[in-house]
Amino acid sequence: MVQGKIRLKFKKTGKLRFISHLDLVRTMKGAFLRAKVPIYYSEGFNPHPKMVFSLPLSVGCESVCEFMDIKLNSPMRESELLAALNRQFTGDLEFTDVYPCKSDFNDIGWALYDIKILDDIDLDKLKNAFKNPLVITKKSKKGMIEVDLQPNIKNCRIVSVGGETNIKTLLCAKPDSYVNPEHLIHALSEAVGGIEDYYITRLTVYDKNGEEFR
Amino acid sequence: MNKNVILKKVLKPGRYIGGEYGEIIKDKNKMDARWAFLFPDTYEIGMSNLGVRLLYGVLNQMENVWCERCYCPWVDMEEQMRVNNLPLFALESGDPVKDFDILGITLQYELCYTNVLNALELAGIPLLAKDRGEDCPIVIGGGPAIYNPEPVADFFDVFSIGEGEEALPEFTKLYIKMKKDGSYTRKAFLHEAAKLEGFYVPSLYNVEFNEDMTQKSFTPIYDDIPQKIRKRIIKDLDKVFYPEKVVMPYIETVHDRIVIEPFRGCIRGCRFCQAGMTYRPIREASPDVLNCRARTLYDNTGYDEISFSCLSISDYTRLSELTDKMLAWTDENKVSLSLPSQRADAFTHEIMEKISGVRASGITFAPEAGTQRLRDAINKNLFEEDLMRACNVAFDFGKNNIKLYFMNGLPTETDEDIEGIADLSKKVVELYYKNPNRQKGKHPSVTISVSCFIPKPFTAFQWESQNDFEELERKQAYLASKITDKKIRYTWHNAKVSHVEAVLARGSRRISKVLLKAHEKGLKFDSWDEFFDYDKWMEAFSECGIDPDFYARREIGIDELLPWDMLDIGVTKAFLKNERKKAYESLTTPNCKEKCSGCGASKLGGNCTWCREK
Repeated sequence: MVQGKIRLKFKKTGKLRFISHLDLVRTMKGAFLRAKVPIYYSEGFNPHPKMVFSLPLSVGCESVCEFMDIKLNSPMRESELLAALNRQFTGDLEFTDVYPCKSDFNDIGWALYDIKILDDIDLDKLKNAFKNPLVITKKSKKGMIEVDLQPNIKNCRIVSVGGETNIKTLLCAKPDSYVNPEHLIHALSEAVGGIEDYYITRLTVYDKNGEEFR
Repeated sequence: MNKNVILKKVLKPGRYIGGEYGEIIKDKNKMDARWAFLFPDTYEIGMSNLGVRLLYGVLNQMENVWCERCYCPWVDMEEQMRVNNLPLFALESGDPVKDFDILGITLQYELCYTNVLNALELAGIPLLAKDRGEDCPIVIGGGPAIYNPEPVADFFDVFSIGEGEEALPEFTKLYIKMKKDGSYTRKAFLHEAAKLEGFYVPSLYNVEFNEDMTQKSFTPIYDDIPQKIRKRIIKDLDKVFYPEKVVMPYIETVHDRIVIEPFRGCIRGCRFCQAGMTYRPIREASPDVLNCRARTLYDNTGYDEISFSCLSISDYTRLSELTDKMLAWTDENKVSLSLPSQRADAFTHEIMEKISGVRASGITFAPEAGTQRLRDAINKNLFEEDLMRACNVAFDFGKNNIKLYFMNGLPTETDEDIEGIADLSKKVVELYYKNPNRQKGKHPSVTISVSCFIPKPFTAFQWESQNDFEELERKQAYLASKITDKKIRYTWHNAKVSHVEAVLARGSRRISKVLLKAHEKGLKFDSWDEFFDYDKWMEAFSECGIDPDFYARREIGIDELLPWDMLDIGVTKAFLKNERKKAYESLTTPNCKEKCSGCGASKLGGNCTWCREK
């Protein structure tokens, strides 16, 4: 049984990678209501269910390790809760685990991504790109600035099989130095001359000590 | 190039993916008929539409039929689709629309016609019905704008006139039967469909014009199809199929709420209003059934707002009963009840109480005209005292925003009537300050929204001419000059858009070449400010040798054959003629509850409580 502050782990894949975070939040609201989960609502004129999500996920990216924290008003059996919620979705969104939350989303340090590229690209150029600065322009309080992603990329492995190039890499996921994998693609695209047909999946999240985040 | 790449390049890709909770997935190999249902505007607008929800449910109820949804892609997606040869596809399966058996298109209003043509082109379906081969889907049109289908008659194989809940399954069953027994060809099927009640197959009727371009004749080419096509109605709104689930969009749509329909038709008989006539006879659903539907939908959707969709909610005879039943569970579940614009003469404290405490800070009323004289002429039957009383009810409950709808360019309108609009709004402002229960420290805000009158088929004003620009603009400026109070906000509709709408509303088959031309010029999303291009429309008319004012600004002869005369909507022409006569004498007609005026709709059945002619 679980109650009070709990953490739900879920996957967002397939077609659902194309809905934004805001859309997801709204969808979750309806799902919890339909599933009749006794979730805690905020007070005030416009009460809404209180939900906190872990990391941002760009439109177009899949993830098998998303987390959301909620508060239950009354206890529920884990399997029942997961089943009730999963009935509200078509499979592209799936809740995989629920447990009392012990850690904080601020503890998150790194995220492991799998990037699959179907374009015909020069593998050598790609590998070289990772040996040089990967600069992108970002908006900041001071205006547009240039940022080198390299310090925030770790353990990058590139494999090419058939017509598919596969990059597995850790990207920094701390709030102030979060690396959006789309930015990485953008920088790589400049280096190898065009990446269009790619699939990004967030596989695992790690805390600042390198332990798998839970 | 695959969809994955394309979807990454466009705004709001969530519009094109389907996969929503509540969508219906079937095995396409086991189907006897596949429908694609096109709503000719964006996903966000189409998903809010009640008609599509109903028909999607009705068609999918048939086990061997699969109905999927389709919407117009936004311009960025359209560009990608053209460049990459990706034809228009249905959301559920992702299959190209041209591979379906039947393509249903709902015509919501005249300004969607160019979107219809654009969608057909994107689908790879020939625009002209006569050019479609045996492999093309049967293209069927229906919906609120169907009551003059002639401007688009050349683009549709068949039209469903009236309510589709029973008609469309009948049509589908005929299709399946003929396919199975080997008698199906496009031509044979359409001929059989034309014999079904409520189906109009334009290719089976010859239309001739006089030298002066007025319509000369409308003749069926076969003896076994009707001269007049009678619309279909659902006789018992309680027994008709109503979906228990709704496809839940992931992205934000225009209206994310539960919609229930208390009744169809309207007792009022305002002389400019097409819907009030075309939805007669009045048929009500019972509060128990409505409440049950609302509850089921709430359980299956989680939406926190319920909206009542009908022409005049105040006239639903069992409104108190319905709202009481609903409030018994909506309040505690934090679900709000949203009532559409009310009749000022039926707006009471009781109603206000039930919808109070909810987000709306304002109330909307529609006096439509500024003086009693003109309100009588248009048969609005609304007295100033009623409007003031209704505003006071709103003020009593702490509301300080009032929105008033008016029209400009109504038949028999004079400058005095225009000034009357300014006077009325001033009186509402003054009323606020006299109300002891008003919210202290807050100023009132009165918004008057003035649209342009458009003469519509099947109304008493269907013969009237629309004011030309100079006149409309002069009137708009005149009204502006009479409004000096900062607490009154005045907004008005684009007269150019209304002009095009008026032409299309009363158009004949001659308009189809203009629509083709407009489509060629790239016109689409005409109801969107950023896309409407009046000059291009006028170019299209001119290049086709058609004077738009023949349709918009001409007073039609009372005995002229009208392009929509072949439709029988129940209400008779004799009734409309009489109403027009009374308008010019500023005489009113009582509403159906007060006294039956014998409009003719009762012959369609439906057990309307007030029809005396049976």
